[in-house]
Parts: sequence; structure tokens; C-alpha cells
Amino acid sequence: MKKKSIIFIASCALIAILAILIGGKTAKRGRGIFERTPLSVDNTANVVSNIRKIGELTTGYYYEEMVLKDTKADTASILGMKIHDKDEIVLIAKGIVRAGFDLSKLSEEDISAKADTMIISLPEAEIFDVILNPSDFETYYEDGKWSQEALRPVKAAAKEKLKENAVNAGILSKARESAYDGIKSLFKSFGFREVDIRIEGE
Amino acid sequence: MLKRLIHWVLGILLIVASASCRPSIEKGISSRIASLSGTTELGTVEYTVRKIVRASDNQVWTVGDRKILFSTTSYLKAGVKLDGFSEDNVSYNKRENSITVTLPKASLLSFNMPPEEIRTEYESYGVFRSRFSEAEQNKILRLGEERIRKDIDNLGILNEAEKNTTDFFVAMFNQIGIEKVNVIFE
Repeated sequence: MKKKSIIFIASCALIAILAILIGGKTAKRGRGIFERTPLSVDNTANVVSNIRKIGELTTGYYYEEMVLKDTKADTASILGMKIHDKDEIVLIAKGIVRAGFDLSKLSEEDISAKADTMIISLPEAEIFDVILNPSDFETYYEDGKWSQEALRPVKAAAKEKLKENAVNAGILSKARESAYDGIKSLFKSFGFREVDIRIEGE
Repeated sequence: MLKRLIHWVLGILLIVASASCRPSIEKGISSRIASLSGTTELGTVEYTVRKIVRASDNQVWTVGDRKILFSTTSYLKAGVKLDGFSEDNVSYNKRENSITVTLPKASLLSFNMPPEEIRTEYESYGVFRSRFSEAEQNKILRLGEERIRKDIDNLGILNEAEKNTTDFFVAMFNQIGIEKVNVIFE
């Protein structure tokens, strides 16, 4: 009888402790017990570590969606029987490449005006940015554990591929073409009748 | 009876095995959709922003929590979009040799948080908890990215971009002989 009472009291105490723990957690969250708290990040400072004056005239823009697949060895076995040999991941990435002219390379001699003609000599068109932000990735399939460090090589390869594809698709010629149109209309709106654009290497 | 049971078990195992068998993933990158377009944007300032992105996950039904902390570096470029710029945006006074240029307000032109500059500084998880999956890590980083984007007005990057854009146009018009240059953003 005594033993039964002890078990009963211990069970009640255990239930009470669990209720307090769950109740405390629920009260803190302000949500139902089985409602999942969405992932959130803490408020941390955005620290500006550098400010750089630039003069980038972006005139070409490339967008591409790509599928990234990666694997890494990760073996697991039960009673000598291999049940898992590699981790796998499939990501969908949406990348952007921006290209144009670095106007900070212009010297005084590169801009001149004669009567109603504007003469501007631009440097060669170049790639400014190859962008793959966290918001540009979607995890389509994931098996095993992947850290940001483990994925770095495949993401770096994706950036290289993105840049290469942009160049092959003609981003630099598109940038030159848009610069002719954009700069001409810009200077014509300033009152110049003729705008003579010279691009280095053309 | 036993024979029948063995047949059933083997049948179920076969179904489970065939369902779990899928072609192995090969390493690689393949392109799906691509587009090329022209634009006219003048970027005049770049900010480097460093941010610690940290998150913890503690659910009611779980025993122990999970924590993760990343250090990130982002490059933000701001300036003015010149698409649609026309002579209506310019007013030249020949007598005073002055020009007034009306430009759109400065905006964020690009945001770049390179994967190679994202570092996992700390990760911990309880005995009964699993590590953060890649999808969860990415979600946390996305939230960090969102926080920086929402803080644009406080960073002062847009004011800096307008100041540098004004300097750019003043220097350019001075170069071609126009002395008084007035740049308005609206």
C-alpha cells in the first residue's frame, strides 16, 4: 500500500514538473503547445566597416536560374552492413551579373565638348558584380548534414559558371550597346546635338 | 500461415526498397533559365556592412535547444536609375551658364552577400536535437539579409549616394565649361 502511494505521488510530481515546464515555455512563447515557433533571428547591429566612392555606370544585366548538385562522403553502417554512403544536396540558385563602365577611370581628357558635340571616351566594359545572396537559394533536396563551409566550393563554382555564362551570352556587348543608347540620350537631353562615344578596345 | 507471413514481409520490404531507390545525385551545375537586358544606372557609393546573424530554436515539445551564429559581410551599392531620363529633366540657362538637373531619388542598386564571406562561428544543439539543416541555415541567413535591407534608411547610404551623384554631375559639367550646376533629387 505504502509502495503504491509513493509511486502515485512520484507520478503526480512528475506530471506537475512537466506541466510547469511546458506551461512556462508556452507562456513565454504566447503560442499553443504544438504550434511551431517560426525561426527568427536576434536583433544585431549592422556595422558599416567601409564606405567607398564609386562611379559605376551599369548598362548590362544578366539573370540566370541554375541547379546545383553536390555530394560528400558520409558512411554509416549497421552490423557491418552499409546503409548510407554519401550526403546529397540539390539547390536552385537565381543569380545576377551586372556589367558596365567604371567612370572613376575617366580622366579630364576623356570628356570634352566642341560647339554642340559631346565627346566621351569610355574605358572597356567590365563585370561589376556576380550576385548569389542567401535569398537567391532554394533547397530542393537535402540528405545528410550540410554546413555553409561544406557548400562553399559548389557555390563558388556556381558564381564562376554564372559569370562565364553571362560573358558567353554577350553581357559585355549588351553593356556597350546600352551605353551608346543611354549616354547618347542622356547628353542629348543636356542640349548636345551630337554625342560621340568612344569605347576603349572597340 | 508462417509462409504467408514471410511472403507479406518480403513484399513490404520490396515495396519499401523500391520506393527508397532513386538515381544517385551527380555533382554538377546546370542552367535552366537565363535572360539578358540593358539598363542605365549610375552607382556612386558602396557600403561594406558586417553583421552577426544569430538564431536559437526552442520548441515546447523538444528537450534542449539549438543555437547558431554566422558572421556575414555584405556589399551594398547605391545610386540613381537613369532609365527614362529625358530633356524634361534638364534646364539650361545660357545667359547665366547654369544647368539644373532633376534626378530620381537615390536607391539601392545592388545587394551582395557573397557565400564565401559567410562563416559559421558557433553551433550548438542538445543531445535530443538535430543540427540545423541547410534549408534552416539558409532561412536564418535570409532573415539576416532582410534585416540589413530594412535598415537601408538608417545606414545613410542613400544620402551618401545623392551627395556623390551631385559631385559627379558637378565635375562633369564643370569639365565641359558649365560653371553653375544644380542637382535636384525628387
